[in-house]
Amino acid sequence: MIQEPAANSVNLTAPSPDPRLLPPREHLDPRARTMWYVAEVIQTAIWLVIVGVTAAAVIRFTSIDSRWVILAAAVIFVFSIVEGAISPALRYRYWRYEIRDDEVDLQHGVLMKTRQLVPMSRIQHVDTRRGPLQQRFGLSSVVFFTAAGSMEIPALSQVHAADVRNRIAELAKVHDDL
Amino acid sequence: MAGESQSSVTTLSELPPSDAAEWRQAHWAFIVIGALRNMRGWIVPLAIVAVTQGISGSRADYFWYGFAALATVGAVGASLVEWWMYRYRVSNRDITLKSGIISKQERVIPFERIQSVDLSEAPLERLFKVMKVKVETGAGGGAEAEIQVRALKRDDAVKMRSQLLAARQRFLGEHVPAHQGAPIDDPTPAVASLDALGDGHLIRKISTKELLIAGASSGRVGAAAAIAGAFVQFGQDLIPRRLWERLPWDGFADAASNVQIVAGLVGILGLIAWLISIVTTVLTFGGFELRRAGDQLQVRYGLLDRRRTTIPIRRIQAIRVVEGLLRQPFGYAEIRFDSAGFGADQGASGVLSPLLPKRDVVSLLIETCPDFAAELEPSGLRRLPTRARRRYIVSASVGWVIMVGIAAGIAWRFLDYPVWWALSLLLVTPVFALFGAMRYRDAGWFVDDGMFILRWRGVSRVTVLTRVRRLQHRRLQSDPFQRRADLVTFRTAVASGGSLEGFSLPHLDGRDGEVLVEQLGGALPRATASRRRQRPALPVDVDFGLT
Repeated sequence: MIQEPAANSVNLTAPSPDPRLLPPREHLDPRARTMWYVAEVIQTAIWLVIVGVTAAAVIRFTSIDSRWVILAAAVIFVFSIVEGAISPALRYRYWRYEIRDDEVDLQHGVLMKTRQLVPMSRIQHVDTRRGPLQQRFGLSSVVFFTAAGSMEIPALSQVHAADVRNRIAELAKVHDDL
Repeated sequence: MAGESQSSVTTLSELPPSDAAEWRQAHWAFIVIGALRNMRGWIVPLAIVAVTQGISGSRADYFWYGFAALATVGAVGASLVEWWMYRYRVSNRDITLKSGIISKQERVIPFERIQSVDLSEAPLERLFKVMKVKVETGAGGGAEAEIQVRALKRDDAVKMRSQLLAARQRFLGEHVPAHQGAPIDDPTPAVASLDALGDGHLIRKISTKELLIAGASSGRVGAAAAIAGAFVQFGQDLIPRRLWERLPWDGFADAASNVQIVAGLVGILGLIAWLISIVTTVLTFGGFELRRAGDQLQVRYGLLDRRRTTIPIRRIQAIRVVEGLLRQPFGYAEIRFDSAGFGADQGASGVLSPLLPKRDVVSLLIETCPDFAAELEPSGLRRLPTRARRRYIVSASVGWVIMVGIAAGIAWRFLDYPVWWALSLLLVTPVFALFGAMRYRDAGWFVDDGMFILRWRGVSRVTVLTRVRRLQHRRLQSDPFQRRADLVTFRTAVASGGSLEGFSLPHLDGRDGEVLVEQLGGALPRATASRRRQRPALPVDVDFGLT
């Protein structure tokens, strides 16, 4: 291998000139954004209570300088508000999926970006699920299972989710001996 | 077609298509059983409290009667609503279960995916003459991988089982494995009959010499050192005080400043640890035997705690060749397998050989699981790009530096230690950096002819041998720093109860990662199809076909 002409060995080591992979085509239902905002508001409110109570308790029962405690609580709170304000839109923007004949293709994540490919023949079964908040927004998630765990497409309209579920169930029918 | 159906076996054509199939509800016994299950946790304590408090007669204690009544109504109500929402449907292609009060769930299992259909009756269910039908889809996922249709009348349950099995058989065009057709009250699990095969022919046995080598080179030295250290630490408590005080400790304390003595003590400690590790290895793996009987591997080992495992060969998902730090230079490795679970059996990872010369690995694999037999050092092993090296070195040493920093901070702030003493620990950092460099150097992967080889190092060097069709998914992950350098982390997993996390390799070149993901599956859309590179022809797609 090493003795081969330079032109070939360059091909082995240097980055190939291939065009890069395209991201999966489909987006989630746009209502996902609103739903996640609502979830963030609820979460932030809970955080406010927890952080507030903890801070009050620390100030009341310990000798730690209250200015530090208030500063720490403020930092946590501001961070969670900012995170809550930004993350739903970003999460929505970066969530993509595509159900191809041979594979389910998922891509998500803002900072840690994940691309995941699951062969249809590995999928054992498919669920649709609706949490209370999802029901409010007419959304549904599709969860599918392989022998190595489960994966989720988190927010599709209920009709579309049922379609996606049925399509995956249909395509996953190739028998696979395990 | 419908006319020729026999009495007990339902043909597929009798089953309605999914849009016409009706949703059925469970037997009303569901409500009673569910309510009793809901109450199971608290009914006894509450009854005791209610009775004892109620008997005492004071008016305030009627509270307990009220409380008990309310809780019972709640339990029955919850069970009623659950029953109301609980619907199942058998169509001509799948079985669907709808359930859930607050969080609604709909689960579909296509007939081809059905691995087993079990019937069961708990005592409560027997009382109401109903049964539970459990439809399983195979390995992994646990409760998630199954549908449980609760509270069916016995006749309906038996009928449903034969329907599902017949449908599955029809779809697969194969014979239903014998154990699935076994009578329902047959208590023998599928695996027990396999054990009855008796001893297979011996493939490998471990000699005393090899056992000693295995012990001497095992990574257990670390754990054993901890035990030896603890022994010295708590020696004071273990040895009678009188004796302890009589030992020349003052002399030791004076001499401890003498580096030679300290080094000597460490040496003795190490030696003790080493001996302990040899003994534990001998006890664990003494009498090791690997046998093969038909489609089964039988592994037996252990002097005190005798273990015996039977592994169906076709359940093996991956082989790991583990080369410990002390073994690699001498060309020895430990061989392990990852196996998928089946039915009630959990997936497992186990030992195929505790110590094997590396040159014998391929022949052992050919004898035991030929699917995974492959050259351990393929010439086409792909490597990481040079720019990954720095990251491996940094990530291996950064933890140590931070730890020393914190220790130095504590030493400086709270203890009377000189800071330079803590900081001198930083001198060890190059050892960690060296590990990082080794991790970079050892990392690699190889795809050929349906075979996938992945190699990495933690402390030991691990080479995983698996088949492309065993991989459950492929994942490329990148954080912002990796994206700036066009690097990705590759992850994949096989069906094994033991290793849901699967295997991962950080810092592949971005394009290499994409090509790898395609080699392990099918081609993916790229920016411009016309410039798509000719990929090596792999029989990968064939693997997705019917088996």
